Amino acid sequence: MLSWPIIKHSFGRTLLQPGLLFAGIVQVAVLLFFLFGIYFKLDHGEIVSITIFNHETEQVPTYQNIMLPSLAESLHYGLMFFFIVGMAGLFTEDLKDPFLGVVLARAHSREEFFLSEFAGIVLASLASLLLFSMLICIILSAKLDALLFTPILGALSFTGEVIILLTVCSFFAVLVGSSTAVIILGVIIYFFLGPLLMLIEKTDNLTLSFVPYLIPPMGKFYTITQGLLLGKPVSVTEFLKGAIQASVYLGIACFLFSRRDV
Amino acid sequence: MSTNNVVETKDLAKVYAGHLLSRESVHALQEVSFEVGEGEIFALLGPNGAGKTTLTKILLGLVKPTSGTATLFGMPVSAGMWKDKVGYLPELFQPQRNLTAQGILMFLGKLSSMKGEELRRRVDQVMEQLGLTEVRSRKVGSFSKGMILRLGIAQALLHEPQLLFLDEPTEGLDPLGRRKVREILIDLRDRGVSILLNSHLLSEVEMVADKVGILHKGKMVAQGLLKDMMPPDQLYQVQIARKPTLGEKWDFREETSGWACVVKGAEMLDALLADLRTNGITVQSVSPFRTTLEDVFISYIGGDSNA
Repeated sequence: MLSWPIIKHSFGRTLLQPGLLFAGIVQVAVLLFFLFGIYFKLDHGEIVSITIFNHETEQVPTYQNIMLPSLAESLHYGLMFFFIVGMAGLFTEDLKDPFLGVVLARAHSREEFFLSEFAGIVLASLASLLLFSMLICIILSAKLDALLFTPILGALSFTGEVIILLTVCSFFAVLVGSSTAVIILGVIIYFFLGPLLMLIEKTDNLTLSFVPYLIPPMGKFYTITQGLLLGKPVSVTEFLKGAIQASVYLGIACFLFSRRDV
Repeated sequence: MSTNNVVETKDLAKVYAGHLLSRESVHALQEVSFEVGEGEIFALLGPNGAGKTTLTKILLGLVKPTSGTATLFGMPVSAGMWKDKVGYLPELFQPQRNLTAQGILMFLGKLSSMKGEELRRRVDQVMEQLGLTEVRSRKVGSFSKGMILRLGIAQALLHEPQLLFLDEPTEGLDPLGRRKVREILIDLRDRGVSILLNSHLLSEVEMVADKVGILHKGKMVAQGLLKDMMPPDQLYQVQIARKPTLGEKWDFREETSGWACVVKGAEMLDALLADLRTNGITVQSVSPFRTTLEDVFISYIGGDSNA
């Protein structure tokens, strides 16, 4: 069902996308900040003071309640923006690529190509995020003198968001065939429609109440990821609903792609 | 040449439906039927927009026909069972620029179920055959147009296909490169490989093709063995120095070094020479005038070309 050469090819190509390279630069900057820019003074495992760029402060609650969530939030939005820019357009680029004909004339089936291409893109995002989160875990665990897994959980949840959003983008890519339009749609769905859907869900209007079933609730996934990152208790059942929606989108996109003239 | 058909189409048609901006549907192909036998080179000719690329893409399963049937090796194209037996060079072969020539061949070889030592051996062979060995580790982004085309041919030959679809395989190559490609095509044919060739370079086609099909506005207006499509009568060109006064009977046209008339067959030549002698006109030269594939092509499409 999946072709390893296509997955590898798609994986390598995705990592070289400018959007992913920008995301990599942001990740390196954050790693450097945690490595050299912030130090914690501990007393019996509790943080008593924090030194940020040589400025020591004992305002630990401010760090924990304001600075850390703000950093997690900006990083989340920033990385997601670069991921959408880097990955969402790949499907449409594929459809227009003259090289596609050469690949499809060899690949065993269109479905195999489409799903392998998708798997390669997902693996690239997973690799980029897991590597980043593991390094953050190692650095923070060493500095806090305690094992910390929340960044890895956050990265996995973030990857879940990326996968679900990419299925919607792949569907639009096959439908509209313009990478710019797909990137814009991806940005709208994630940054604007997510919060809007959470509002619509509360409405009594019968027609509107069906809308959240059509589009994955990205706003909810965002809240889950943030909760995991900050160590708050969260329920991941929303992801199950999202996984069903994503499967439907991916299935339809795959079906449309297999019937499309190249 | 054998009579086993490797490619066979019957009443193949493709209509591209209109869209919001242009409601008019386009009939890209209309009832196209043809066959390519084992070990044959079939050249598909036609002006731009005649439907050559659409026909090739239908045979490769990249475009779905509106009606009609197409089979490769006796199996419907849609079955896809032929993939490891077919090589394809598209008109615009443009692989990823950041990959090396060897990387691209390895990737495409693996897609054709090749692996290990066999794949490495074939990559080395086709690179050697197409003169790419020295640039095997260079990224494709630094390749010239001719080198990219040679890489395209190399990937099409990589898995030793029994059927090749080549879209403009010599365009952009220097004369030596063209000759090399011609030699490769003839060698492949001799080894029983069937080739469907799309080309605008009719002089090149004439040197290698066994069969020719002329597509015009989506219809196959002529097809057959190349030798059968060439006119049987020998043409002769008669040249004289001054404008003749023979009336409308002979179609003399002005050329840079005088006036020339082309006649068909020895009898007509005798008659013209007799006329010229009677009128005291001195003949500068008489030379056999060979009909080219280009002349045949133009006679079929009537000069109505966008090429």
